[in-house]
Amino acid sequence: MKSAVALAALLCLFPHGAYADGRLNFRVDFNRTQVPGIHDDVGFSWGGVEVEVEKAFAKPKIVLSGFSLGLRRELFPAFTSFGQDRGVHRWDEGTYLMLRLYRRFDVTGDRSWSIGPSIALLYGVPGTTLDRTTGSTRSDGGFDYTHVFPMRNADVPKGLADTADIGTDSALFYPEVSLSIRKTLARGGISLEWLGGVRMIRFGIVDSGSQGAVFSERRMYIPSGGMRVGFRIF
Amino acid sequence: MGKPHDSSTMANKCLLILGASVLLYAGCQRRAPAAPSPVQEAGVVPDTNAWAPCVVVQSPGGVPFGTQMAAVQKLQRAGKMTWIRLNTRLDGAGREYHLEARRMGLKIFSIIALADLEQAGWEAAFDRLYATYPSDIWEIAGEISNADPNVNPATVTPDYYMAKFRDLYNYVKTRYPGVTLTSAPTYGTGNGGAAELEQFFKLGLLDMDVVVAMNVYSHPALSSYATVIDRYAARLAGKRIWVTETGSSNPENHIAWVQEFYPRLVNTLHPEMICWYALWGGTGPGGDNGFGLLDLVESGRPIERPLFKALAGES
Repeated sequence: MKSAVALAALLCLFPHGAYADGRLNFRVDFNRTQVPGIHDDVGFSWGGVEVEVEKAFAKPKIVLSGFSLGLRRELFPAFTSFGQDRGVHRWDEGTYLMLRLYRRFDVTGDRSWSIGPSIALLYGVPGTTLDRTTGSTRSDGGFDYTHVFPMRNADVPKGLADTADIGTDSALFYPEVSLSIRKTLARGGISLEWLGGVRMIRFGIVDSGSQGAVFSERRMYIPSGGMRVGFRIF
Repeated sequence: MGKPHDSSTMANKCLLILGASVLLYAGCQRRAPAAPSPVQEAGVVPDTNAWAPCVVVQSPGGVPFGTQMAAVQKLQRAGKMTWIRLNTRLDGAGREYHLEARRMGLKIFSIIALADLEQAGWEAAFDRLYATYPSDIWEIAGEISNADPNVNPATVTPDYYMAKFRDLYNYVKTRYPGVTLTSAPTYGTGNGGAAELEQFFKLGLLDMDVVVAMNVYSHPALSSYATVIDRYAARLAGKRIWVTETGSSNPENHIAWVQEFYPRLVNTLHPEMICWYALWGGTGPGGDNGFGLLDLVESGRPIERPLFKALAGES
């Protein structure tokens, strides 16, 4: 995380003249995985939306064509306390800050089509969005289950955690690598991107049953597919 | 000359694909309409598959007794009630609920009030209540940090509670080897429950062969519990976890609470059982019958709320 912040700070020090353009991008994506347990596999899928501000360099810097900073939400409607209201979207469930670094290669002479890899670093609060359990009740009333959960590996600033009523150690930091194909329209004013990527999240897995219990950890490579649309804003 | 035309065609295709993608995404994210669907209006019973067969029943006795137990029997016959959570008191009040529940073949989850434990001494209180009330599981105190005087005359700290609970656990294991105890449920509103739960764990709760109890009334509480439950996941494997109280104070959200919140409870806490609070919340001070599956029980002519009807198989 520290290295990502340092890299972002360095990028921000480049003179403005180096920027080719800046865009406001919106992304939607779908993610699906199957986490293998000893007794059962636990599968789940989820969607997310992102808003990001992208800055592209006039010429690649080191190996980068540009970078973006954004906010990711994995939609999670919930209840207020005591269920007085429902359908309330909670910011502290599935909300991430995102830094994305990318390289882009033009594939057509007019530069309207391009292809490029990117790596994004996400930091945020998964809440309960990535906790899953499958199980069954035994005849003796006991509960056999396989529980998978993200290994939360980062802290939330105390002031923010106190404000939001969440624990300080409830954050998740993970990378995503992706490859996208971009088409620009309206003289570059609008861009459309089709993208496929892989999120790398470490999960904890608990298999608990009458035969005993087993705990393990596994880094999951989670396929993600989606689309990004962008508008040049500067 | 062909280029502008090609570019325009390509742009149109792209926009079509974009539009289709957005519509598909919106369609996938679309939630059930708030208004009753035509199917519901036609009298189809709402889905309550996520329900767990445990309900908290207050025990004031008198007119409500017969009404409450008739409702309990209705849920039991519908296969929606296996466990009943009942109060106990040193003066023996409400014993008729235990006896009737036992006669009906229900499993009984009894809660011993902190005030009674403190008044008689923890071991002595347990001896007296064990001799008075039939029960399958004993919950040792309610929410110890709940300052509501209707729940506790005084609160106690996790350190104090765990010291007393450990002594009682050792006493019960020696004197009543077959008895199952449950720890005090953590106070599941705001962020307090998770901190309290972790404190219990640090003070040795996971070293005991007991049921770990939690009350969960809000998403912040559930989200905070998740961080503790997941942090202690390896040590919790094989432990019994019960959500001893959950529910919505808005009767219009009862069914949604079961459909949407119960699955999240299972996914996050993997509880063996979830108990709905409550069949009827009463009418006295502190009574909050927004949670009640029934209303106007004291009148002897109760009103069945939508979740009760759905559980009982009525449209």
